[in-house]
Amino acid sequence: MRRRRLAVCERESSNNINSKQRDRAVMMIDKAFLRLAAALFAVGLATSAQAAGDVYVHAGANFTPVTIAVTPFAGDETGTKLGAVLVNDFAHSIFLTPLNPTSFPENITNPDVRPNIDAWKTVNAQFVLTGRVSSAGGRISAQFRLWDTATGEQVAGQQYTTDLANGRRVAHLIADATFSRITGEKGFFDSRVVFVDETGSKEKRRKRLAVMDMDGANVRYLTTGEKLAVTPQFSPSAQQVAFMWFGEADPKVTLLNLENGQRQVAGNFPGMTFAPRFSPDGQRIVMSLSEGSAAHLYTMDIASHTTTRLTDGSGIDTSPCYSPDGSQIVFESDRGGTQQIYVMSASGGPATRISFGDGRYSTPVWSPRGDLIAFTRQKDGQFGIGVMKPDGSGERIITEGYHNEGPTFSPNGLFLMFFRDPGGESGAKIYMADIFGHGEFVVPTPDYASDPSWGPLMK
Amino acid sequence: MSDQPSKSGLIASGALHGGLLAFIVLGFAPAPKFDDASESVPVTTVTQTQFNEIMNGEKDAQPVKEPPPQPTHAAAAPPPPPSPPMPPTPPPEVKAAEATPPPPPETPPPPPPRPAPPEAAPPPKPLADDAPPTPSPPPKPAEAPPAPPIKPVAEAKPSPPVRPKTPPPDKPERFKPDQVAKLLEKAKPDEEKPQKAYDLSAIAKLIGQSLSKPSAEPTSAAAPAQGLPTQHAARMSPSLSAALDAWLTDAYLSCWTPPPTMPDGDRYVAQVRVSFNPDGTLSGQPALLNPPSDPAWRPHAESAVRAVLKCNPLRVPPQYLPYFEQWRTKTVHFDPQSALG
Repeated sequence: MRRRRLAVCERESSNNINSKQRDRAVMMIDKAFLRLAAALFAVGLATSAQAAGDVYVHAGANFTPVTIAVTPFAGDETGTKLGAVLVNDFAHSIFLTPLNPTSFPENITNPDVRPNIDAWKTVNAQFVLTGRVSSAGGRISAQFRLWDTATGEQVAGQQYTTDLANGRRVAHLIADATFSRITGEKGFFDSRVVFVDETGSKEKRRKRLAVMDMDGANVRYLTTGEKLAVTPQFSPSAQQVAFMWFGEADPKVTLLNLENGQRQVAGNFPGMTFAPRFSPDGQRIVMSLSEGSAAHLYTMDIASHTTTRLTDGSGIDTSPCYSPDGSQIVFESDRGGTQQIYVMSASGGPATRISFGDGRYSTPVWSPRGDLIAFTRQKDGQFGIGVMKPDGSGERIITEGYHNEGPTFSPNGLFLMFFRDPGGESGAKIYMADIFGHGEFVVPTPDYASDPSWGPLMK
Repeated sequence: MSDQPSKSGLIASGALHGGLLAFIVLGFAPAPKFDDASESVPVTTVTQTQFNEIMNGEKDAQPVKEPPPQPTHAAAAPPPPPSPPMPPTPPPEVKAAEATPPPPPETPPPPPPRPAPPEAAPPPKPLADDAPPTPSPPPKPAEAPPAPPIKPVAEAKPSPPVRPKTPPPDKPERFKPDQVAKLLEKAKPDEEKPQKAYDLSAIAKLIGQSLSKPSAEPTSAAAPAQGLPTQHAARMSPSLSAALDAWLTDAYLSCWTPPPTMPDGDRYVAQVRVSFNPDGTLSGQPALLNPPSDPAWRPHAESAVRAVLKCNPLRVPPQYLPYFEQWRTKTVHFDPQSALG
């Protein structure tokens, strides 16, 4: 019985071997045929792809801004001011470049009629902006038309009416509409930035919170400077700011409503709270709380003041920032030995390290588009501002030197502001660059300035 | 026992593969036959280093020294009818603007001198409209009060362009592509007929140029033979042809500024049909062959057309000039893929 079973087993095994060999042979034939078929298919594809007369251009690293001619707005003298704001906006948009008015081939007398397209082409104007302004009774009314010289057609047009005092905003709105139409991106000119204004000598520096238009105009101070106020953060959805306030006792995270001036301390914690950041809906803030030699992340519901602890351990977890969908939080931590960037669920739990380059990584900020995280990288005494994908791949440094820090994204996620402090007796200035590193320039501020935080588009 | 299925599987597999082979072999059979009197096709056998030299040559190529005799070509090959404008039907507002004659007379017709009446009208209740969204009494230091919201009052419908009752005096010297296009359109049927009814002078009159002795002028010796595509024109060797395409790619890349980022969804690659004159100038408006269905890609499509116009005229290196027939029309594919690196 046992032998028979053995014999059966043997036969089965020999059968198995035979059938395996056969299967392998069949598979080999199959593979050979598959390869042949694939080769024939590939040849066919290649032939069709190389269709005669076709040229394939892949976007490369070269970059040339689109040219636009901003013609003087017809109407009263407010048109001149509005035009100047517009030209300044485009000059700092990196992706567009305004043409020098001395090259203009014609004077636009009637902005409602199509310009002489051929003439504008000869001066390499790819777009022509015409418009008119009128102001009366404390109101200003402005309208513009954008002409594409490639097609000779009007591709955008809009009219705005508002209080005379808001003339600059009208210009920013026109700039946004134009930028959007040409690039397909959202606008960003009609937005504001909070920052720390710094005056006085290095030893006795006075730091005040201030807010300005993104082009550096209309600076307004939010604190007097008697008490230190640092690391302001603009709410992504409201005219509200959170910052670290050195009032009484321990510094506390404080909220300030820009519209009515109301302040409130965020949470009632025993230790120091710092590095606040709003959730995308503006309903919560996430911040660090120092606990002994460690610091942990907490969220607080602004309305109910209920707090939730997100991290623990002996490391210092700080600079938290929500992803734009609110589902994740990126932060920096020294839990692994050096400052690095980690991502975790917005409700806490395990965190994944995403920064693996040389150096120390800090101040991560999630782009409003969700596609990038900006950071400060410290390496060999140099401070670089860079971006990487949320999984840590695709890292690229946009600027490097001494001493860059604290990136903040524009509302459309195409630009960064950060501050650069050259050291010595001078102080920091705010700079703006695009996320591809095509261009960079200083944002004019009345004095030294640091810690910028870019707010949402105005409503 | 288990042999049966395998064997039958083998047979089935063999039969199928045999069938596939037969299909492939027979499928290629009805390929078009070559003409009996086929012209010779130049073929070059080049080594890798030679090929590299050719490529180097492209980069250092001198600009065209002497443009080939254009009138000859113009006569030989009438300009193709202008390709349809990019947006097939211009938006009404644009049309309106177009309708207005260039700079209209200083004293426009009686109708509302400054149109956009429906849009401009709203201001009756402006303050109430604008006030609510952002009241914003400034905090302590009263610098400039936060800006009250500004609402786009209206889509500034390009003000119904003042329509002149009587068209202003003609400006004969002004080039009117539409009319030319129309005329060419009309002329088309005639074109089919054996060159008889083809009236060059009519077109010339319209274009505003004088084409003296159109076809009589003989082809200059230096000029390459430029027969019809199906006849005996000079043919580029494959390597030269590849080098030409590479040169065109570089040229258009340098003229192209794609939008900074790509919208979500399937990638759109704009295909632009470009037609040239023998001197490298465009012989018509570039035609976008595949307008994007998703408006988010519109700026990409427009950037492609802009690139073609920006590159006009192309300075075609002299070595390609004799082979005009092979670059007379090209379809350029603008792929934003590597824009983000």
